[in-house]
Amino acid sequence: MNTSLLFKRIGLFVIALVCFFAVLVLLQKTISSSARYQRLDFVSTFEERAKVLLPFLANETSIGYFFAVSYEAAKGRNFAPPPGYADGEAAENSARGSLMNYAMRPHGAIMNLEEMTDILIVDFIQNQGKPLSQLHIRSTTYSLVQDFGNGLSIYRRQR
Amino acid sequence: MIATLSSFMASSLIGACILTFFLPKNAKPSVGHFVLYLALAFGLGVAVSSLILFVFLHFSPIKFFPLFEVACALLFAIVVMLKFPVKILWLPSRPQNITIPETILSVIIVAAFAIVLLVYLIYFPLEPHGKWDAWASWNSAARFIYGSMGIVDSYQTFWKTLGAQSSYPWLYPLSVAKAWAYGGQVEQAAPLVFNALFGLAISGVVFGFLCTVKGRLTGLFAVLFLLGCPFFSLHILAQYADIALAYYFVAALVTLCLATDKEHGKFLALLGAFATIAAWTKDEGLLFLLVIFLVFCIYVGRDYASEKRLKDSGTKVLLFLGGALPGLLLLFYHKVFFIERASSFLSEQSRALIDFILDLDRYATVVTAFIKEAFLFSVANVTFMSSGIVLLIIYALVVGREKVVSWRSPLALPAVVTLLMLGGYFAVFIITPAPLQWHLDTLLNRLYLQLFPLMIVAFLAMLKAPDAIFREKVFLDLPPKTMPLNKNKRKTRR
Repeated sequence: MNTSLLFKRIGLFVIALVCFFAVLVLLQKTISSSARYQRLDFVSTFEERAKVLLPFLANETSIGYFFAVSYEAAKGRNFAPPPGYADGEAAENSARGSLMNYAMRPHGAIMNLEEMTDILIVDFIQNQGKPLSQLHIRSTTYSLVQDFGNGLSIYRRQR
Repeated sequence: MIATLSSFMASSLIGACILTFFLPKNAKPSVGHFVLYLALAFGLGVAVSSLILFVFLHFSPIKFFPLFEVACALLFAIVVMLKFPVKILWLPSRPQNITIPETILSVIIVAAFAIVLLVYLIYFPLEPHGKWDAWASWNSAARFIYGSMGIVDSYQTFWKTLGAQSSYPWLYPLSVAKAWAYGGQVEQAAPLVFNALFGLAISGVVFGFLCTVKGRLTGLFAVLFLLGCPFFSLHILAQYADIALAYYFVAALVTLCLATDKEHGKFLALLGAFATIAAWTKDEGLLFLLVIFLVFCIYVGRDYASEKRLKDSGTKVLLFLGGALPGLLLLFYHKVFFIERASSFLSEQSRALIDFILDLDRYATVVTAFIKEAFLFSVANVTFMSSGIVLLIIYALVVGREKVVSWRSPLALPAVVTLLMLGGYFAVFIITPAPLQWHLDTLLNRLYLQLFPLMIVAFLAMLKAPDAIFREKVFLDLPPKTMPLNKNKRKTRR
């Protein structure tokens, strides 16, 4: 009997079974995690926020987006977007502009992170237990158009 | 979904028509060849279609592109049918002598494909927009292109809102935006379909090539290794461009290997095209283009040194450049004229660069991460048994190395290209201006994933085909009783 040949055959068969087993485990993990899966909901959160904004953005070509994730990050700003919008906690959420754009884009709205714009969407995520009212900074450049609650408001540049 | 599939079918038809010009004459393809050609036609078609769309958007909105593409596909098909009436009817010859191990592996593979499909059906509704980079960059870019009036408009708005991320190459966003244009709406499944088709095409290329050069069983094992890598299957769901990039890597490599035989000599043009398109898919493709160019020069130089036939070498160079040129021109145009603020850290941080190169701690960190990730990248928190490299090493130990394959052989080319790519990635990590550990943590597993199909081809091409293991008899025939062994020996001595 050629033992080495037999072992080789068994070895190849085991390799094939291990590969198949990996696929089975993938399925098992997918099923178990899907039951308790909490959707990250990045996109749908922003899609919801985009929906309430859209009626105010019709025919607007100069739309800006300013966000902050905490009172500290927002304090003292006059709505001028921070350079590179990557400071402190905001850096962790640097994709928020992309997310809002991603949500807005199918509706034709284009937002700008770099320039002072006619319309400014101000989007604060409540953090550290600070009341949202404290986060609304007084601005000499912009006047409030609508406060939607949950940290979302829209401003227009004063002429 | 139908619209998305139609868009990829139209581009595949264009790819198939172009591929027909490069196929060997008057030879009925085997199953391996047929699968390989189909898979190559898909990738070639997507690439050509995205390049045409890039030019098209300078003159017209994207909504008119489906009509244009379908017209082009039909025109191409008519031209090919008139020029190559035999080839268009090519179907693979019926596979002969299917063995029991081949049947068992085929059943396992079909079952595995069905399970992976089920995983996608469960997982996709949970994260329809893909992972972070998918919505922050790739799919976002596709939305900009789809919603814009033209390429300049889409670029400007894209740049204003996404900044540096808009410098990414555009094969993925253009292809997805095109799929949406076919349906007239943003269909969420389009990026997943794009990735899944490229995943399938990778399996086709790997199976087709190995089936051709090493036999059906080796090809089947290669597909099994791909399916047994959970990170590969899950990354398709992530909707990043790495799967498409992995396809162009392996497609270029396979065409390079095939081009070394005279029958497929014209494949050098495809090699140039695939290598360039890799750079049009993701920035890592630029490194691959460099590596392929280097390997190609060595290959042509070696051939010239041995045969001293300048005309042959010149033809090879012309074929390669001819294939690469259209993509290179558009790539150059995109990089130079569109990406006005593309990162140029080499000029900005040359002082830091020297510090990085001389910092030995960085080397230790990168080496450690490379070794660790080599064994763990494919696991993806699913099961440690699915470590792709470990399985390949065990497979190598079982089947053994092919003795006739030397480092000068065409079958050694995949290993050479893979090692050069790993070396290039290593160098990139040494000089990266980003925080090193963060960069390694977020990128290295994806770089290994891009190279995984190359590794499979490299390993399996240099190893013995397992067919011999199943062909030989485990239980040897006993010698007839009438002829004792010692008597026989005595006779031969005389």
